Amino acid sequence: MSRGRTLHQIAAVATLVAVAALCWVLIALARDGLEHWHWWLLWRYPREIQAGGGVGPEIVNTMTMVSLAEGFSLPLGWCAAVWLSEYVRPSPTVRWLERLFIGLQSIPAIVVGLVAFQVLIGALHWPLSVGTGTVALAILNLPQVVVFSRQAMAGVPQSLREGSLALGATPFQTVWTMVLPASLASLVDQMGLSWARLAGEAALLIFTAGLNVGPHWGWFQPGETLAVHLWSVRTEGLMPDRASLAAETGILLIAMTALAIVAAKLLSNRITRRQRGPGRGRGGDRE
Amino acid sequence: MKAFFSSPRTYPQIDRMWRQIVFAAAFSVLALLTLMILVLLFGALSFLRHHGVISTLLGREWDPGRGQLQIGLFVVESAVVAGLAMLVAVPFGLGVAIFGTQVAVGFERHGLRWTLTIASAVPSVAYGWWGLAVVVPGLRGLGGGSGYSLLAAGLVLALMILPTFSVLAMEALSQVPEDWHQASLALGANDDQNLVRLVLPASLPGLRLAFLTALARAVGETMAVQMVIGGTAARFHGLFGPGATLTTQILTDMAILPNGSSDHGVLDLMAMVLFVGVTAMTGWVGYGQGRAEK
Repeated sequence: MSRGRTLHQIAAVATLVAVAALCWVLIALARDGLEHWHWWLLWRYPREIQAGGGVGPEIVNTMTMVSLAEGFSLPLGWCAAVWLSEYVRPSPTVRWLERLFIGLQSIPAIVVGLVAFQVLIGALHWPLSVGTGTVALAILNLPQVVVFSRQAMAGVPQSLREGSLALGATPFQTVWTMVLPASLASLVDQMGLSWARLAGEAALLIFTAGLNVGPHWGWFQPGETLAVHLWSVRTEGLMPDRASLAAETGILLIAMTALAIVAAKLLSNRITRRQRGPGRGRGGDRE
Repeated sequence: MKAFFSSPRTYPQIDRMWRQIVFAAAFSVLALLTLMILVLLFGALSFLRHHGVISTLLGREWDPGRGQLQIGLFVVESAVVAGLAMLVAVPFGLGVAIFGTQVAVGFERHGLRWTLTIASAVPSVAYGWWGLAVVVPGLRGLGGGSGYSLLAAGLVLALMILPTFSVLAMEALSQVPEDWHQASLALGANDDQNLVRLVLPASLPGLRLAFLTALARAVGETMAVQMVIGGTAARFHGLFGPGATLTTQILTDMAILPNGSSDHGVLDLMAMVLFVGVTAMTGWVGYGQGRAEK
């Protein structure tokens, strides 16, 4: 070993330990979950006190609630980001506004949950339901969407905008045909990450969407998701197979979030390649 | 419809509509978030009107049944748990970032990045599950007691924020221009000197962002902590004893202090303390960045 690399060697060891610890989580979960894996888990209804319950409704709830929340918060957040990045003139007020959004980005989920609980359930008398949970998720997601999209649009070179405007395009055409396509890859990336984040969210759903499922899906039906199910089974479950059930739910949840991230990443890579066009070689693939 | 979008005569019309749409979107996002803050503020202030500010924030008596609602203990234990988590996560995260940007190439670097991305999206309940399966029994064997403890919460949180911190720190370290590396090496610095005297100081603002983002995540986390901390609000039991943080106590007391009960406002107050703390942390980063760009 060459001299003067001691710190780098320490860093390598630290990395090894860190990656091993992270893999430990995944492997422990996979071992416990796959040991008793049953495919009927995917469609059966949960059971309170007997063994053999599934998580079918939880899967449906997770998918629909997260997708609806994204469907509400992404367009709204994107439009707000367009306003911040394209229309507003920089001023101290706007800088404060952006700072506020950056701060709100890491607002604890439980705080959003508490407010949703007070406003939707307390004041508007909504039940613990799919709808309440969806709205809470959407609000949790909003600041992050605004900040991320704002950053993605800020990454588009100013000269492209000037060129577009100089050719006589209106601001709408500039955004629609230039800024949006140019930042599309990072927007898609962000979509996958936020989908994963919302799917794994439990703290704010416990007292907005509830701890059980209804006989069928509905806006005002109780809407337990996979993450909440994992928590409730592991901490207060009464079924005899709760240990393996929790691990199986965890595996399923991690598979879903990883799939969302990987799919979004592949899609965004594809978009980047398409836009770069043929004949430019693989040089741009390096980081 | 097609004619509407493709005819030059309608361009100004579309443009005006578009501007109104994005303005309305930005306005409604802002209105929603302001409303949220106002709801919290209203609840917290109306609670504080009937209870002393100082005694509520600094006192340690918590017994909702007898109307004793002082949140000082939770503030302290939140800080202890988050501090423990940072103490463990930051050295390892820094190691990962240094390895990932200065040493690893090709497959190692790519694999590391993917592992961290996936790990940072693993739901917090999964880390909580791991804490219950591994950390709590381990501490029970090591320190006696039940194993449900502040230390367990700190360790689980450390692992949970490690990917977040590492990814951001890696980004910070990779921002140092290649020219600077070459200049430093050409002046005779060996790799360690290059790291300590150039790379780390040069990426300090980015590292600060990583640190505060991870800290904010640690302070605001509920599930992973709630599963392993034991949930005792009586008094401080030490690192190996059970406890409760602001986040877990909000979750627990939601059932004891439902909407409309006279003491429900204390939950708003706890949320407000969390909110102000976390927003100040990350907002301060935004402030630092804004100044660095100027």
